Order: sequence, then structure tokens, then C-alpha cells
Amino acid sequence: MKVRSDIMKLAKSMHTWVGVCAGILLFICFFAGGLSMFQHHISKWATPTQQVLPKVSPDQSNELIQKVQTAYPAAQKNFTLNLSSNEFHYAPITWSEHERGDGFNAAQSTWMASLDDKGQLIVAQENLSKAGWLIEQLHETAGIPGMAGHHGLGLYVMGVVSILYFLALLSGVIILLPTLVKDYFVIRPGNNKKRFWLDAHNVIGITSLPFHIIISISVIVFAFHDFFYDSIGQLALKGQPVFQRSPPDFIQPKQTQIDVQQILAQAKKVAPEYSVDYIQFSGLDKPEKANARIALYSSDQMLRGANHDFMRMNPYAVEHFNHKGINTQTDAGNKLINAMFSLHFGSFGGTGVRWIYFVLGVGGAFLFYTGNILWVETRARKQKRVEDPVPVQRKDVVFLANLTIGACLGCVLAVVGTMLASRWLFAAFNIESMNHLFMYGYYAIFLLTLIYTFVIGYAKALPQLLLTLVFMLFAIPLTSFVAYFIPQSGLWVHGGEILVVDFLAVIFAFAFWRFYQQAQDRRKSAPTGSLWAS
Amino acid sequence: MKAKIQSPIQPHWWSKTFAGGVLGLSLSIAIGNLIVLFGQPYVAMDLLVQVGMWSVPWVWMPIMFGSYFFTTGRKALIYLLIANTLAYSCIFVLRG
Repeated sequence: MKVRSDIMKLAKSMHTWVGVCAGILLFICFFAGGLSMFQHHISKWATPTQQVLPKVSPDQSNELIQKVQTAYPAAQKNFTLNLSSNEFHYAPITWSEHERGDGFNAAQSTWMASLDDKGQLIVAQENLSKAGWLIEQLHETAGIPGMAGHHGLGLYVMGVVSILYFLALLSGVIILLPTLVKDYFVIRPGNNKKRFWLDAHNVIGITSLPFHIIISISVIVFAFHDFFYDSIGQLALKGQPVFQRSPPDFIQPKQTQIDVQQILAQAKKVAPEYSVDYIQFSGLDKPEKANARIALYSSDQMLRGANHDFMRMNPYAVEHFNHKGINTQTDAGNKLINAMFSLHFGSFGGTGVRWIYFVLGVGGAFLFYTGNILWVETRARKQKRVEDPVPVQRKDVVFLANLTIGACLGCVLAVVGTMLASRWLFAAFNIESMNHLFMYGYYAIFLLTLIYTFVIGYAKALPQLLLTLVFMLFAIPLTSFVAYFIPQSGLWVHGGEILVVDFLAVIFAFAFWRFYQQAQDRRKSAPTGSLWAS
Repeated sequence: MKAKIQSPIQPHWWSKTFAGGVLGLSLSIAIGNLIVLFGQPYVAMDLLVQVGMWSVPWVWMPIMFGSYFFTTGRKALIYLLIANTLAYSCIFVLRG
């Protein structure tokens, strides 16, 4: 297809500049977003066994609730009952003495309770390890610290970045149009490295275009929905509140004790397609206003939350419930809105779609990395003839190469490094708050990598960083191995589906090993003064 | 021989970014509001406002992208201003 030359020129300038501005932040969000598909697996992977209490059978739930509430008055107000969720895998019942506000809170001090074999109450207070939750925070904010109102500052920054990202997507399509048929699905390795990067960039970009468009639009909504809603309230509704609350039902509960079986039976009746993963009880001290927020899961539905649909119910009067949030109980319009959320979260189609979203997320990160490298490669100064003077690379090119390699690999190293360190450091020093370790560890490794890359130069740093990453990634399953065979080491391992984390580490280790070899070869064969010579 | 383009697109990054980013946004907000106003008799309000809200970025982003393809920044500003005026007039007439 032919595209007018002036349009082409405009699209190229636009794609270059918005891409370079947004690329690195998008890399961080996409890498962390890909991982967040398995965030609860990662949290569990990084949870010391000391922070896990035994499970109880569902018919013991009522007994456990009664015992906990008698002994601990704070649980008479609110608590979470876990049935089969990885998110609250720590104990059958968890609660905290203070209600947590919105936003970032590294101190996750939580009470938890279970029953032992003889039906005796076991209670512990722990600062729960939530690595996956922190990875999700990284995904939402790109690691930009600070709060603005009730959201992280990073969320608003990413809202603006998403606008650039959308422009980059469409301008990229225009640039590719003339050669789309010829270039699509062709990756030409060989001596022309720029050609290879461009082919890889194109194939990933075009294949995942619908996914990227959905992500960019939904992020703009996640960042600026309050503003959009306010505009509707002020203009179309003439200052009326956008969401009008229907007057609450007058509820006079007949019972004073929570009956979990009754709640589950009611949930099953209302939403037979779903299973219940956990229930969050709140406001229990005022029975007429008490609320049970029931997390429902079905792999056949487009779920509105990142993992669940939710229904609400008065736990003392189960005939009073709100099932508007359930995909099967709502109309086509609401299903459309649900789909907008679900398509961002990948919360439909069960585990298969989670894996696809994982690949799309990590692939997206690769897309932004290749984009920046292409910018650098395009501006490389080359020695065309032997008698020409040795070229000196432009300062801005060197700067962006340092920044891209330092920040992108810094992010990956920081996530992998802190995960690995958490297991060994906890075993060695009995760390009080794992989350502080994760958080400060992340920033420390990220910044050190960035500084190191700028100091010794990207060309030298790249193979070194890649090799470090390979060792760290191989050390992850190795740590699980040691934990399994030498339990007295103080390390821990969770079996079953949690091994997916170790599995992914091995896959990534081999991939980065290949990248390392390529980087090393390129560095050795690079002529003096060229882009990759160190 | 290649036909010469009559009036090639000028870059005008700042004025077009302002046109797409600010006037494009206000136009999209107006369209989101019009969806709410037109849909009022047919769709339940709590759903309708969500549809209106979600349509803002879906409308805004293509407008923002499109505004770079006006031949000049001036034209982008003028056309978007006219569109804004029309859209907001509709809102104030419809809501009464």
C-alpha cells in the first residue's frame, strides 16, 4: 500500500519521539504487568513457611470464626475468610486491627488464625510477605514513588504516557503499511542487526496491536476516570452525583452469628456458574449494615476484577444481596463495561489466557526495548572506509543507549534479585518485614544498575548485566532445590502450581543466556569506535 | 513521475498537540456527555454514565492522532474549535 510521503514523514517523526519518551516507563510496566499475571503465585513463592498456618476444612469455618471473634474483638468488626484463593493463602482467617487506607503500605502487619488437629485455635501476627502485590504496584506506577490524592503519582504519569503510547501505536502502523505484506512475519537475522531489530519490532507490534490499543485506552481511564466522571456529572447531569445510591434496604437481621455454609449456599444459588475463593467481611459490629464481599471465580466469564467478580451480601441476612457485579447476572451494556476491565486484566478464559497475557506483557516489554535500540542503531556513526577517521558516537545516542540498557535491565535485575535475596536473607537474618526488603532492594538494585551502566558504558555493561541475570535466574530453582533437600537451611519451598515461578526462571535464564552470547559476540566483533565497541 | 503533493502536511507539533490534547479532550468529553444525554430515556443511568465515561478516551485518542494530519496547526485549531462549539451547543440545548 502506498502512503503519501509527507504523511510518512510525519508518522516517522511522531513514532520516534513519542516512542523514545514513553519506551522505558512502558518497559517497566509491561514487564511487571506480565509477571503480575502470576502475582499471587509469586507472593506465595516468596512467603516463608512461618507465615503460613494450616488449612481447615470448610465445615470448620463457623467454629473457627466463633473462636477468633471471642478471643480477638478486632475480628468482630472485619476479617477475611479464605477458601481457595492464592491471594490470602496465608491462613483461613486474616484480619488487621486498623483498616488500611488506599494506596501504598509496605507494612502489611496482619493477624491470622487457624485450628490445629485437635481443634485448638492457633493465632499469629505477621508482617506478611507480599512480593506479588509489590510487583503489581510496580506495574501500576512504573516504580515512580509518591501519592497524588488517593492514587499513586505514577498512575497519573502512566496515564499521560499512555497517550504517547497510543500515538506511537497508530503512527507505527502507518510507517509499516507500505511494506506490511512484504515484511510481516519475516525476521531476517544475519549481518544487518538493525534489520533484525526492526523485523522483531514489527512482528511483535502488529501481532499484539489490538491488545496494546486496549491497554493504552484502559490505562487512560484508570488514571483519569474521576475527571471524566466529574465532567459528566457537571455537564450532562447538571451537578447531580453521577452514581445515585438507592436508599438502603431496611434490614433487620434475625441471626447474630455468621453461618458460612448459609452464605455459600446463597452464593451458589445466585451464581451457580462460579466458585467462591474468599469472603471479606466488614462492618460486622452493626449487623444491619454488615457486608460480606464475596470473591467469585469462573474461567468461563469475563471477570470485572483482576481475578474475580464480586457480589455483596448481608452475612446475617443472606436474602439481602447485590449481584450487579456478576457477569452472568447483568445485561449486555454492563457486560461491555466488564469486558473493558477484563481485557486489561486478562481475567477471562482461565489459565490459558493468563499465559497469553504473560507472553503479550513480556513481548510488549521487548517491543519497547527494541524500539529504543532501533533509535540508537539508526543514529549510529559508522566508519565507511578504512581510511576514514574512527567515528565518535553522538552524545545523545550514547545517553539513550545507557539509559535504555541501564533502566530496562535494572528493572529485571531488581525484581529477580530481590526475589532471590528475600529467601536467602530471611533464612540468614530473620528479616522482620519482607516487604521493606523487596521495596528498598528493588530501588537499590535498579539505581545501582543504572549508575553502573552510565559509568562503564552500555556496551561493556550489557553482557555483564545479562550474565548476572542468568546466574540469578538459575539460582532461583537452585534455591528451591536446596530448600527441598536441606530443610534445616532455613529456606522454604512451596510445591504444586507455585513451581511455575521456578519454571519461568529457568526459561528466562536460557533466553537471557542466548542474549548474553549475542551481546558478547557483537562486542567482540564490533570495530573500534562503533556503537557496540567498548 | 510522482505527482507533487498540493499542500503537504506541516509538522506544527506544538499547535497540533494543543489542538488534539486540549480541544480534542474537550470535544471527547462533550461526546461522552452527549451519549449520556441521548441515552437517558433508554438506558439505566448507572450503566449509561459508565458508557459515557469509557467513550471519552476511545473518542479522544483517534481525534488526538488525527489532529496531527491537518495540513497546518491553525486548521487543526479552527476545525476542533468549530466541532467543540457545535458539541457544547448540543449539550446545552439538550439538557435544557
